[in-house]
Amino acid sequence: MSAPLLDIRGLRKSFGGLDVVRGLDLQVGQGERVALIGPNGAGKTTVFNLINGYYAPDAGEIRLGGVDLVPIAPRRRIRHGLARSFQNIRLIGHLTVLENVLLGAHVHAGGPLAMLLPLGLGRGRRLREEARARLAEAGLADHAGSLAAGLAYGLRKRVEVVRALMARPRLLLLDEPCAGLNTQERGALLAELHRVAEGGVTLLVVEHDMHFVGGLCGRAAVLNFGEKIAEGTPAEIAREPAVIEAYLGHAPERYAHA
Amino acid sequence: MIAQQLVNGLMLGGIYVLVAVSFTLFFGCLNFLNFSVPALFMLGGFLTWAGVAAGLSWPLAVLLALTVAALASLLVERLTWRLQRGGPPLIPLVSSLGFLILFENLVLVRWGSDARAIPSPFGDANWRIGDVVIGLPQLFGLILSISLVFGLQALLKRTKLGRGIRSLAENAETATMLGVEVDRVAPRLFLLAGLFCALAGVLFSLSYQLVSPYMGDQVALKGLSAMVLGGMGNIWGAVIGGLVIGLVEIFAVGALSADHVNVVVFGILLLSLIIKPTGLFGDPALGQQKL
Amino acid sequence: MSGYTAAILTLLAINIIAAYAAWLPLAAGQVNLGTAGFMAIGAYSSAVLSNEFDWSLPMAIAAGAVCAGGLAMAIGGPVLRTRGLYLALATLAFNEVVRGILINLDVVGGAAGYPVIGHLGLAPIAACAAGVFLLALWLGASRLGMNLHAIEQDETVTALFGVHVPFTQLAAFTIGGVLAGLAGGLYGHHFSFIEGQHFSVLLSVTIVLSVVLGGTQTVWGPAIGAAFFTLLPEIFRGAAAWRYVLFAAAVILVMAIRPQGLLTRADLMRLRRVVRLA
Repeated sequence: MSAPLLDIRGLRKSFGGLDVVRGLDLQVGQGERVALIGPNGAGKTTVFNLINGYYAPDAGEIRLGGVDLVPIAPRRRIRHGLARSFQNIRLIGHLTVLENVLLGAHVHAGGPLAMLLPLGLGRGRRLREEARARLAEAGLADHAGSLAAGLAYGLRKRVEVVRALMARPRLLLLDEPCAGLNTQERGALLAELHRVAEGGVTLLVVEHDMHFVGGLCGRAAVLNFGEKIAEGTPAEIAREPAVIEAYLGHAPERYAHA
Repeated sequence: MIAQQLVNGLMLGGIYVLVAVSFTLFFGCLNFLNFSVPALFMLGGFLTWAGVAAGLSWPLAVLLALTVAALASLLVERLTWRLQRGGPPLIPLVSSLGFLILFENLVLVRWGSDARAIPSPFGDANWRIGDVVIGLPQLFGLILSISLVFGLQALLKRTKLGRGIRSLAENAETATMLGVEVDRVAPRLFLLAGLFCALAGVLFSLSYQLVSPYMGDQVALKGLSAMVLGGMGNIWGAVIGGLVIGLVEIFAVGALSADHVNVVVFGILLLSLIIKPTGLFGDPALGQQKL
Repeated sequence: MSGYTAAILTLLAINIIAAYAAWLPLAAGQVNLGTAGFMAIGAYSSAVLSNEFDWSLPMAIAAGAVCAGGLAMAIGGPVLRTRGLYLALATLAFNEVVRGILINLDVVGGAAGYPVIGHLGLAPIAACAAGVFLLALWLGASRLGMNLHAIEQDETVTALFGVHVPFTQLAAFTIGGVLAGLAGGLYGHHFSFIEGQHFSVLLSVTIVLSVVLGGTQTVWGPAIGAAFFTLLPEIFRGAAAWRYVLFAAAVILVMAIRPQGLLTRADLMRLRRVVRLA
């Protein structure tokens, strides 16, 4: 692998004496699709929050395209090509879907004076066209004018992905994109994410649905108690004893004998 | 002269202490900037006058005033904090401002806007040490308010309710998720904090012998300054803040004039918010949005 | 139009401008309890300029608005960095400081008040209110307006999308200061007399309450709230003392039932659909 797009080394974070992330190393290459899996409380979302800058790490490096993100303010990291979706949907309820998606493009909207222009004027016109196009690609064109709060759960989940894409990220972090979606919606999301990845966006996904992970990601890293306990293709991971033990809470032998 | 001002400042500060503690209980435990506090203060003081004017005995009038204020505080809990818990802190704040205006104007509708003189049950009792005159009602008030704070601290440390309140203060999110407990603790906290400021209103009316529907505004604003100065959410910070604001006020009256008091006191509040918003002993995490 | 109607309409126009002054920070979840203080700055500085320096009324009032905005920026800068509820406290303190200074400032009459020579009638004031409304419509449709709403609902996520939250809030607060200064300047030059006591925290509080009552999600909310507050005593004529009681009860009730205020964005969209169908 050439220099990875995302390069995490020795990442540590503890809250009140509890080590949540313990010396994590993780590399994601340009154009790769990597899953971060593990049981509840393994520290997956914390890793995302550290990459994102919501928390400051106690130790370690997070490099994106060679740039160390740690000293960079959370607000500025999106300019380095980092965007994410959230585990519990964080759309702005009383704004329309189109407006939510336009929020994602904030970093491309221009300086303070451009903030004073109505959304469809100046550079905003092109951004609005881009937002409409991306919504249409995701099959959400009909909902562009609806308020985000009024949308069905599965739709809101997909709007979050489109919003993150509007930042034109190099690396897209998706926190449990499947949670709460039915089989049909999962299929639509999978197709959508394949399209996104083919467009050159690198994906790092936290997900519990191994079927979905197998369909999307070429590689998975397993986290347990803040440590990486296994890494490989989704199929290899599924056979790893340490992984089975982490998920079941006891050794696979005993499970086999039971 | 300076000794006399020191005494007067501490006496006045004793009132501010109770109001500041009341504010800080709401803010520190519930992240709720409760603007109904001035109205509860007024209900305590004004209804004591109304009771006495209607022919009730002193203790009965005070009891009545405290009861009404306590009920009012519970009503505020029901219609502000309980309904809007977990939402943006702006909404309960706005509702509590609504209650401030509601209570003040209900009193205004019934009794008018004039200030009323209230006779002291202690007469003109005071105590002289050399040149220094100490009003006994004021001294009583100061001692009472400091002992109440000690009592509050004991309650927070030793009782089950106290532990509930402290767990709420330490981790409102977790406590909020355990909805049942919060629903039992919060009304008691409102009762407690409401009684603190209503009692301050009673003490104020006994000490300064003047009540009006707006009597709470200026006093509570100073209690608010005391809370900020001492550090929001910190009870002993509120005590020190209250005494300091009392002293500042009295010395400002002496050095400048009564008209300049507000400029000095609120100037201190504004400056401390700009320079060190966490106050002298505050918790910097309070009042910030949580994820 | 009778003089009485004109007086009510003038007051309504001024209250609407003041409501938009409070609305901008409120849309971003910031309570400005110092609106009356900024109005006082606008009223006194424009009055001094037109009285003592013979400035034309438009120039004087505009300068008063700029003064108020400048002060808002100076105060908002440091305070908004701390976020949370501190702005409510700081603006409240600011309001009291301004009022305290004006009452003691003998150059402008001190506690006795300050007569204003130049006079403005209903027409120019109504024109200003209309202008402010158009400005609010413009800002509401702008990226600034969108970011303010986003900050109000989810500050953390909005910041992660690259929005500079304190700067955005400062912009809203400063524009609000300018509008409050304008409202104050118009007030002074209409009533021909200003006194520090008028610009109390109570006035700031009622402005904030009327905006929240109307609803902060749409541009129409503040106007509705201001109209409600201004016209309430006219509806309950003869029971003037009850005005604040009813107003406060309405605020508490509306906050309890629908904290988004009387008119929400969803209402507005439904309304538009109905109008389009009709």
